[in-house]
Amino acid sequence: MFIEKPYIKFWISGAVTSFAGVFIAKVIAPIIQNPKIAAFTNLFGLIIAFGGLYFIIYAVNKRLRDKAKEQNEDNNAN
Amino acid sequence: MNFDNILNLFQGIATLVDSEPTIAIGRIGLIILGGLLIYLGKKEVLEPLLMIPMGLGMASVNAGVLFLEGGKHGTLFLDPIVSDPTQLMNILQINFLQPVYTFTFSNGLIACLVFMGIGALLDVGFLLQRPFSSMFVALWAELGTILTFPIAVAMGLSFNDAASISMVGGADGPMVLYTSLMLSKNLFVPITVVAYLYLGLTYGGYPYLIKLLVPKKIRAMSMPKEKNPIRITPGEKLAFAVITCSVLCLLFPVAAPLFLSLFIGVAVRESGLTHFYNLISGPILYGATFFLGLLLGVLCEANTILNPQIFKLLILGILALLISGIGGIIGGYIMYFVTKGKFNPVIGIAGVSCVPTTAKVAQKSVNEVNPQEIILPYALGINISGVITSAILAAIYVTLLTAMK
Repeated sequence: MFIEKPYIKFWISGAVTSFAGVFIAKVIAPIIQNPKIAAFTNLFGLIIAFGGLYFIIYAVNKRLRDKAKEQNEDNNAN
Repeated sequence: MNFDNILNLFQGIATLVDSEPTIAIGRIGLIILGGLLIYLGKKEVLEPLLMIPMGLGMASVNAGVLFLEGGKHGTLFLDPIVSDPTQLMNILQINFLQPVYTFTFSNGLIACLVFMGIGALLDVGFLLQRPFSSMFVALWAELGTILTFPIAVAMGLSFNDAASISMVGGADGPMVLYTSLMLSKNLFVPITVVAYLYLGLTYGGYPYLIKLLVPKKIRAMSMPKEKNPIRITPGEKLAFAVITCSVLCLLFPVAAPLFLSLFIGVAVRESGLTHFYNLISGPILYGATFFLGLLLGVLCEANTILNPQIFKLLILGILALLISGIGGIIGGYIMYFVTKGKFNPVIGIAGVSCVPTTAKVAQKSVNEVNPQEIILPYALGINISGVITSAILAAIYVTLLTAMK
């Protein structure tokens, strides 16, 4: 299994957010007539795209934290 | 037998006598510089993998000049400026390195091959474990890439040339090569040569910058150890590489070959494809590095390298690397204060993405004052982020400047 089940939702959300950012920056921004709004939309799209990638990284870190917590609890119980 | 006939037997010397004094002095200087690069490479002051083929190529191309048709001076190595297809077809059959140059160097393939090898050596797990500190410091270490651009423009360089030389601040050889090929074809030889010469210097120069900016007490500090380190699975790393590569390629299609090359290396590594991994991290990486060094040396012919812009490029190149190094350490200091003294600012230098040299420099500098301390995992995370931020900046420069045309 690539990604553990409880964390798939974070991965999917991150990937969808990222591609939505790409869509905003590369599809919506170029068709906006006002150059200032177009530039702002492009920047907004880029931020959303990178934010999505960070959400995925958050998922990885959340799994690491959860596992560390489990290990600590096991150690304490032993 | 007259003197001319004797000189014709030794055309390398005859062309030296026959050429303009500037070119003759330049050729002699470059032969000596080639020897010096080999010496410094052997002594490991500079990166030997690049400097030894580069130094020998530089010395040979400036020594091996002969009279061609019509009394013109030239070599049998390669012609970097030939563009006419018929002329190119003829030259491909004469100059021995022309096929390697035309089919791998002038189209950026060699940069992508080196990048594939770098990708195969990268463990993105270090970045995934500490994403925020890694990206934050790596962004600071791009200060030279950003600040050199206006300085270069103020010094009279065009936007394209300024962007290409600014990329030296990212300290990523393939990236500089790729950007200069895309943006300033007329100056890509001197820019790439300057970049690779300076990248060799990072190993020797950055330790002094660290000593200058970080007091011994802070350098020697110990960072908190992780109690139960949990590994990031190869599946997670692979999925991250696939999504990141797709998103970055969609956002910056002009740099898609670089992103693909980097992440294909990561994907092969994390998929456990041992045969491909061995191929990419061995023969492809070292073969490409060898030919890159050799071609860079051979491109350092006096006629090509004695460009009036070279002095400006030399100043801007060192400035870019210096500002990036300082930026990285500033990023390290900010993390040091934010974490209340739990982050060693020396690690900031690893944000200058010369993989893995700057990470090793950080580790070496810390070990000089605290032999037990291991900071390499932190430094590698920042190093990998540095590669990604450099690629993004290269993509931004290429996209913006191409769009401005």
